[in-house]
Amino acid sequence: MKLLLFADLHLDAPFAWARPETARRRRANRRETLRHILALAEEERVDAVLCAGDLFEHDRVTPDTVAFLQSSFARTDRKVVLAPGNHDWLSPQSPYATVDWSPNVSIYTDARLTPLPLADGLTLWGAAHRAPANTDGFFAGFRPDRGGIHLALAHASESSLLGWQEPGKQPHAPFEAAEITAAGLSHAFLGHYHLPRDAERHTYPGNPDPLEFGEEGERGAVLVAVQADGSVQRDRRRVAVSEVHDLTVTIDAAQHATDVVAAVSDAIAPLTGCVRVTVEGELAPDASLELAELQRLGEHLDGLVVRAGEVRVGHDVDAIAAEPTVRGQFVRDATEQITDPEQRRRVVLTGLRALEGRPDLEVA
Amino acid sequence: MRIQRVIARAFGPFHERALDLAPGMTVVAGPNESGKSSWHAAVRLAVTGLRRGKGPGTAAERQLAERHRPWDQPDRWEVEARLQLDDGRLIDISQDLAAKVACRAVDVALGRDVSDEILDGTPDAARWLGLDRDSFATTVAVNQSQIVAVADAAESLQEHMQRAAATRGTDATAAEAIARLEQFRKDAVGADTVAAKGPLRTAKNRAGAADAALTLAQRQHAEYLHDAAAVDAAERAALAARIQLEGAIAAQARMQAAEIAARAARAAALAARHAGPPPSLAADDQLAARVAAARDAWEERPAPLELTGRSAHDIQHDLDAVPAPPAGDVEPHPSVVAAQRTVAGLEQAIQLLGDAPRQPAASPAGLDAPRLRDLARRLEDRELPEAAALEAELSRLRGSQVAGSNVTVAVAIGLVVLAAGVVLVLASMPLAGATVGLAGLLLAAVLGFTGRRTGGAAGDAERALVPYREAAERARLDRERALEEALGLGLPQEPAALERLADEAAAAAQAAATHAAWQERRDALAAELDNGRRDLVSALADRNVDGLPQGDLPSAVEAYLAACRDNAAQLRAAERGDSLRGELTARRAAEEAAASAARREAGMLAGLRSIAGEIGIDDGLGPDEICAAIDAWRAERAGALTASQQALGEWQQLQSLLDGGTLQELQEEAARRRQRANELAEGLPSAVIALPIDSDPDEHLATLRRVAQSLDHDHDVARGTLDARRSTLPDVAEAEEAAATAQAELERVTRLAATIDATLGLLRAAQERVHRDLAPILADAVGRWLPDVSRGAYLEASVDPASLRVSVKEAATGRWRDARLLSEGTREQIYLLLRVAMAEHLVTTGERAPLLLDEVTAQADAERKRQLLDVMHRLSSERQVILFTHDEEVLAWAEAALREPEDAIVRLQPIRVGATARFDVAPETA
Repeated sequence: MKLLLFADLHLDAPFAWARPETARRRRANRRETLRHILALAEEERVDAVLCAGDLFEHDRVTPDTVAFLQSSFARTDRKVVLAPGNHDWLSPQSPYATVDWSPNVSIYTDARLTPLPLADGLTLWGAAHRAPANTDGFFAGFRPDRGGIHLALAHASESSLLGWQEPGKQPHAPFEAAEITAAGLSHAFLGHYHLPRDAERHTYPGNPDPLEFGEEGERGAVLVAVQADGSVQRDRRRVAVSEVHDLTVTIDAAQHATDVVAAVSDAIAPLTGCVRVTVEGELAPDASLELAELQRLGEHLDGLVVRAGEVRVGHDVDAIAAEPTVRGQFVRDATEQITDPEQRRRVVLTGLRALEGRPDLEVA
Repeated sequence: MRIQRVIARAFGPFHERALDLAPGMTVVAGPNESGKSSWHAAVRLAVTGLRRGKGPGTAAERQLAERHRPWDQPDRWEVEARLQLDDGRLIDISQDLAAKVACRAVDVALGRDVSDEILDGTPDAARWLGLDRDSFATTVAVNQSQIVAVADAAESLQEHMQRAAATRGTDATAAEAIARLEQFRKDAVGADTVAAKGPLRTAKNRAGAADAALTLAQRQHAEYLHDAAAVDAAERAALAARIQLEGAIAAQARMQAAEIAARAARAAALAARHAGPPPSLAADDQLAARVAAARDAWEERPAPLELTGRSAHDIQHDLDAVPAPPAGDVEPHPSVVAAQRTVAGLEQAIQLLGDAPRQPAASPAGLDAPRLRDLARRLEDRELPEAAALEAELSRLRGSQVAGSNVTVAVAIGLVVLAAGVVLVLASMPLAGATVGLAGLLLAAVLGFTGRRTGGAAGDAERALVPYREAAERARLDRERALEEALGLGLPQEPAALERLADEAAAAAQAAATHAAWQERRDALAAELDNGRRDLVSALADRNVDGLPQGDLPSAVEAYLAACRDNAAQLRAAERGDSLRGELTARRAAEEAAASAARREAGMLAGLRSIAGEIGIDDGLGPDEICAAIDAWRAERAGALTASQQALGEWQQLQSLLDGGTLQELQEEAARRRQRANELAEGLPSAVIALPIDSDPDEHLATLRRVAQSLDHDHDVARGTLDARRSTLPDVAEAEEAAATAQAELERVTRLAATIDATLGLLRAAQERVHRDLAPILADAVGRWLPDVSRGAYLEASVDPASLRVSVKEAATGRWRDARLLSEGTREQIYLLLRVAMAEHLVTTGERAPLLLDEVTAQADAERKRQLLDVMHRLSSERQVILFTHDEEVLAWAEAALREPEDAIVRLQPIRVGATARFDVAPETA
């Protein structure tokens, strides 16, 4: 039995940082990623394609995306099994409920594990999120009502992994890893955590196409071979379409804005796709960090985000603070009164630039 | 800090050349092109060096290099200095200005590299002063232009102080920075009012609009999902309705198939019993009908009539004995009765009128009572007592004609005449009275109308009284004629006698009238009686009582009445004949009816027997036996008829079932229907294949079709709504991205505003505090020297903390004067004092900064030069002063004022073009 697992495609999710055309391209890339997944399924002649939730975003899904999914699944000869997640939770208004899916598509509709026979003696249990939040765990107390090998497909949060996920991740349908074994399940195919994870009894494939900058781990679709004893062999395959880079450019050597531009430009020149550049280091007193100007360097990219990281003030603030001058007093007061380091940096730089008569008074 | 020696290893025009400086005041003098500016720069750069960094450096650095790199060896640019620090250390500092590599500071006594103490890329000895390269220049060095600026513009003094206070003179003043920030905030943030159009308000508006668009997009998206669910629900409902309808259709088809199958089975059974049409009993129907008719007729025959009473013959005998009716009246005719009553009434009236009244006596003199009374009246004395009064009044009027009262008099006369007329009327002289009265009225009116214009009223009155007098005359003559008339008729002349005669005459007249009336009534009744009798006779004659005289009229009437009674009796006898004739007629009809009934019964019996014979019954039997036999025959035939009809009905049913076809065709149709029903039911849930038991299936199907069509329509409508929404559905993700972008911009501007506001607040506070701290320091520093440098003209100095404006107290008046209003020379001196005070304030390490002065006296007159130089010389007692000048007057002052070893004079010689100065100038002491 060969299965192809993916999850957390998040079709129609927004990219708040991106320009409109970039955001549209990234959303199109996710659709293309699904094409890759289905093509891989055909190529590998898998018995079923499994999606462990968050296929799309309920609150944002467009009619066009719904039509795309419907036709994409209808075109494949593979069986497609969908377990709604917290972002594509099943409601009477959900496309899961309102679309006339092709016969090869099976959708779990209960908030408890229900069986789907994949083969003689092999059952795939699955469940659906029926609400965007507060879904209880699926595995605690569960026992199959039949014999054979039992697998599971769900959008659920393994509690011990929560701390490793991106900030703000909520524990939807939480469970302990031991519950899978206790439930008599040979393996659980899961979604929700974007950071990939191949545990002994469960698998998180991760989001197949990048969603955020800075994502790590081998994310994609997981080709699963189910053995006769219920164990699985996993083969991760890259299916992503989007190319995303997350760089840090140090500007310690930059004496002026031109040096900063050159440093960023050099860093992104060989890249394609979407790039995030974090500028760090000490900025020379005469140099200015114009993020908007740097943003324009990414014309050859799908998208470029430049942000200021730990940019230190190039002025000798201590020496200035020792001056018996207005400038010195200003720096001393700013240092004493402003607790937020970023705001302090901006205020000190703004004041010093104003005293220097510089026009670049907006500090990034 | 004191600079003991500067060695230009390679600097501008100099190679390996030294400049020794005194600890007090050193005047470096030389003409143009003697290298003063080069030495000035060499001294400063030997102390501070140049900033190390990539690239071409700042504009000032580039300019500095352009001017002071060695002319012949630009790759080597080096300068050294020996510094005496106030902490006692002696430092040799080397500045590799070209490569900035071989730079170091060495403690001469210890031979230790102390570069780290002052390292800023390269060693910067200004750091021992608490300054840096830039602020060293602005704090320690004073050039010609600054002095000139203070001399030319008093405000420069204050600005220099502010700049130094803010940035040690390196950059803008705090006020400039604040103004710049304020302007930048205005441009880059703007106001936050509703009407504002700056970046902040614009960002807020855009964020608000983007949020609203996002809210709208989310709402429309939710509606889209709702509509999609509604379409799904409508589709499911329509599908369910269609399945229900198809189930009903299948059920109906199944039912119809079953019906046809039943028909086929029934037809097969009938066909098995009836290979052909059954025989008909129609031929016997007519006989059976006649038998039934004869039997029914006999049964319903009328009962025989039983006649009682007298026969027609007996009645005819009685009728023949009845008399004829009378010819005359059987009761008195009304005309006779009426006429007889009229005559009797008249006769009674005449009897009641009685006898004639008594005849009256004749009237005296043949005159009637009115004539006698008129004569008596005329004979009465009618002398009016008013006449004399009238005449007297007229006489008085004639005599009292007074002018002006004519009208009144005339009216009065008229009224008098009128009154006279009235009197005459009352005196039974109506004609005369009326004439006189009318005349009086006319007179009063005419005279009243015209009197105003007539002066002779008396004349007019006289004329007016003429009719009165004429009437009086006529009355007198009438009495006289009445006397003559009475006398002539032999009547008394006394009016009373005449009145009595008149009464008698009236009574006679009354009696005559009564008699005449009786006679007239008697005559009338007699005439009417005659007429009544004639009418009675005539009426009797009309009743055939003729020739009767009127005298026998009562007898005639009585005879007539008797005849009437006789006739009445005869009539009553004759009237019994009519009754008998009616009875006879009825009896004859009854006898005829009885005969007829007997004949019909006989006929019916004959018919019964005849039909009985036809059906084989013995016609010799009695009617009842025949009827019983007939009934038996009919019962037998009814059974045969029923069997025949049943066979015929089944045959007809078979034909109806086959409906023109064959049994095989019907059976094939049943099979087809069954197959079709199975096809229709295929795939449908068995539960929906049903029809209502207790209602019309066709109506049920129609209802299901209507429901299905309605739900299809609802589905189409929902689908159309969804399609329309799809075409206009905004992209929620894009709306979120737009909102995020707008929010990011708003956060940027808000953060910028917060940053600028915080910066402005801190800057303002810092400015206020530093100025407040600096003001007394500057005032004390200036005040310490002010009496000396102003030769006692000013005693104290004051500095405004807000603006650093300097004021000085005039010794002569004790008044405070704004330093800007002082003479140029005084301002220059105060400026130098302030610079020194500021330098002392800005140097925070305990070291005393030297003072580098470049041509600061160039624009001053001799007196101002001397004053400035004196101030500088006094200042050199506390700090090193190095003055570069080309001025011979300054040189002369130095030669006169400076004293070794504290002071020194260095004379520079012009540098030959193309030559390099190499130790060709030795320090020259004063």
